[in-house]
Amino acid sequence: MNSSRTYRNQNIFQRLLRRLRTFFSLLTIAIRNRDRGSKKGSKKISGIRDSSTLSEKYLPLLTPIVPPRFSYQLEKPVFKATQSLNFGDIATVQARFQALLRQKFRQEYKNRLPLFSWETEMKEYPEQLPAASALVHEPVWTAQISRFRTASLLPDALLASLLERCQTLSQTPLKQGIRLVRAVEGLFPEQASLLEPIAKMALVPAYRSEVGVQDAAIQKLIDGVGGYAAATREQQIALSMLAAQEMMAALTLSVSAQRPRLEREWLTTLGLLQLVAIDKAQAKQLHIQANLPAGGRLRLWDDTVEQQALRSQPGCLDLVWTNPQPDQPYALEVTFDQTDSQPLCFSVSCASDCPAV
Amino acid sequence: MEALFQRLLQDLRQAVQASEQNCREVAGRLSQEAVRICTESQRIQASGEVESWALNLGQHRLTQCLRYYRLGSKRGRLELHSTLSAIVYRYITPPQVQSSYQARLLLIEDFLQNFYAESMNAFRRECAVAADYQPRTALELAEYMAFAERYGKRRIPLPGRRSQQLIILRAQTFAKQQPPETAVDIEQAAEVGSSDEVEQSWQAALMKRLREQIGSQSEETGDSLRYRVVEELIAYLREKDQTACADYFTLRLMDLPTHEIEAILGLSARERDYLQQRFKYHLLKFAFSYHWELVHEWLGADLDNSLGLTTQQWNDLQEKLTGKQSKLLQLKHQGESNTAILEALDLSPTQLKKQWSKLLEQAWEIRNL
Repeated sequence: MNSSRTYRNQNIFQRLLRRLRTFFSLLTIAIRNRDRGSKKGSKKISGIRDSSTLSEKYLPLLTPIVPPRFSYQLEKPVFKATQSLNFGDIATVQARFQALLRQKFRQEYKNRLPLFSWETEMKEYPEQLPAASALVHEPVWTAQISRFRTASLLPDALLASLLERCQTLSQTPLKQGIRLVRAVEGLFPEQASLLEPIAKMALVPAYRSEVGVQDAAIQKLIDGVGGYAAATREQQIALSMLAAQEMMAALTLSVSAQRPRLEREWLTTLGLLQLVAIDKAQAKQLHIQANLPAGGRLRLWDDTVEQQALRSQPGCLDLVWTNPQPDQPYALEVTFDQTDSQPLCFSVSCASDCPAV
Repeated sequence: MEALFQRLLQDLRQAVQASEQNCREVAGRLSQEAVRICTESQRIQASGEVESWALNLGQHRLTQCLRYYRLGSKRGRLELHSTLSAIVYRYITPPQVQSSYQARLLLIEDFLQNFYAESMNAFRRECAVAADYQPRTALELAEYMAFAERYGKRRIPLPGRRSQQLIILRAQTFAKQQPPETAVDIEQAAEVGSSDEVEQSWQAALMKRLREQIGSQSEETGDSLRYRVVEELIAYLREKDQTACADYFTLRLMDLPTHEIEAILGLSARERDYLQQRFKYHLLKFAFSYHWELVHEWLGADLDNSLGLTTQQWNDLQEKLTGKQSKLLQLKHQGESNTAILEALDLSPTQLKKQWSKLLEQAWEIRNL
């Protein structure tokens, strides 16, 4: 008894739902019948009584705005325009559906919030920006950034962090590829798996001997990207790595028998800093000369020994290191008296093909 | 424009803790956008009420912006992301694969990443800020989020006097389901600006005026039966505290497959089955008791149409009825009020309801055999 009732109810339900979907054909018939005036009922439900013919009344309502994917043609079109039947377009249903989904998504996303295109990490935004000079970690040293082709494209906040990393990494005897990964991994914590392959790509131009080819490849990337913020994550990683490369190249002086004299410049807000590293092979010495744009200090050191030279006015300073270890990077620090900022740390080394060793 | 700017600036200052500079920048952009829409809208220009329109549009934008500001970076983006995901959900289906909730979710996340980048570029373009501008303060972030929502909801005109929201068109392209007739210069159309809210408020005002003049009898100004049945059913379910059933019904109407419904509602198959049973129960109650007239009229099976039965079927029904039910049917057909019927048949209201319900069910069975 029970099961037959259930079965009956199930049938009723199935049929009712089918009716919901084939509503339109029934309404068409009903309207046609009424238009013919075949059955005039004495009682109508409120809201439908109306003197205009039903067909005229319903015509504008039955052309909702639907995405064509969900529409289907009537078998017997009554009206001229293509009709679409889509319960999803009933305002109440649509509103309810979206509200339902919104609630679901709030739960879904609350532990994995999206980042916007310029963001590298989730954070709260400050009410007000801190004063401009405090924004950048090393104000004195950042003037040089504008002379870099790729680094100049990066946002300030990134640069400060990158510069610090590059100084540290220049001191380490790692391969360049690993250095690039280390330099940017803090900036892209979510894309750890992408770093190595992109580092390999970033290094490829460097292996080509012609500088022109290198430059062209890099320029192509820069031109193709409309600024750092508009770039894809991968492009941003690539740009950061190229910037890191630029910085590390500018921070490293690696003299050798082939190139016993190397020069570097670094633009500061106080003026241009010039450095020269000379390998005096016969005398087993490493000479450092610096031209400071303002009074300051030069310091050359490794784990055990340190040498300093100071001057109170702009001008030259010299340091001499006897018996430098081959392939051992020494830290060369430059500090200016009049600023509080951290020193800029270069890396100096003698290659092992130095006849001195 | 100056007056609008001052007004918005004042409201902004009171509501946020951003710097004066920031407030001026944002108020400037909001008022510029409002004025631009007014200038480009022929309707507004013709109305002669340009200033009040500008004020409305400007304040609406400010309200939106402040809403996101109060939510903050995390909750604000959660809200934005959830809203946009909900809008595009039904339009993003994985190609060539049966849709599932998880699959759509993945596509939506990718899609929205692109969308956020696009809306940022649009912001930069339209608000005339630097090409590498990015929000740095809480207020700027809120401004961007509000803009992104508005941008996505912009209506793009399509051939055949239709229109669709920009983000939906983007979603359809993304899911490679783009219908051919939307080959429209979306960029250009999008830049024309959001006349959508102008259109909507205009139409709403127009409808209101029409209703007042014509003095229609019902509030619904001729909604079709279909709409009414669906809306009444949903309202009925909510009234009976059956929001889960109402949600289930909504998802069925959206034509979603069962597993997707389970995923969205967070139900196991068994739980969904129970819910379905509950829904059926209430649906039947709705169809046979509470709103039987509406449903039956909709199906062309009301009393005027002999409950949708042929003559033969009608006779079959008569045979099945008890004496009381027969009388009941007759009285109902004659259009007697319920009170009169109660007296004539000596029934309580509950009994009457039950008897009538049974009768209708029997008619239904006969009709559907």
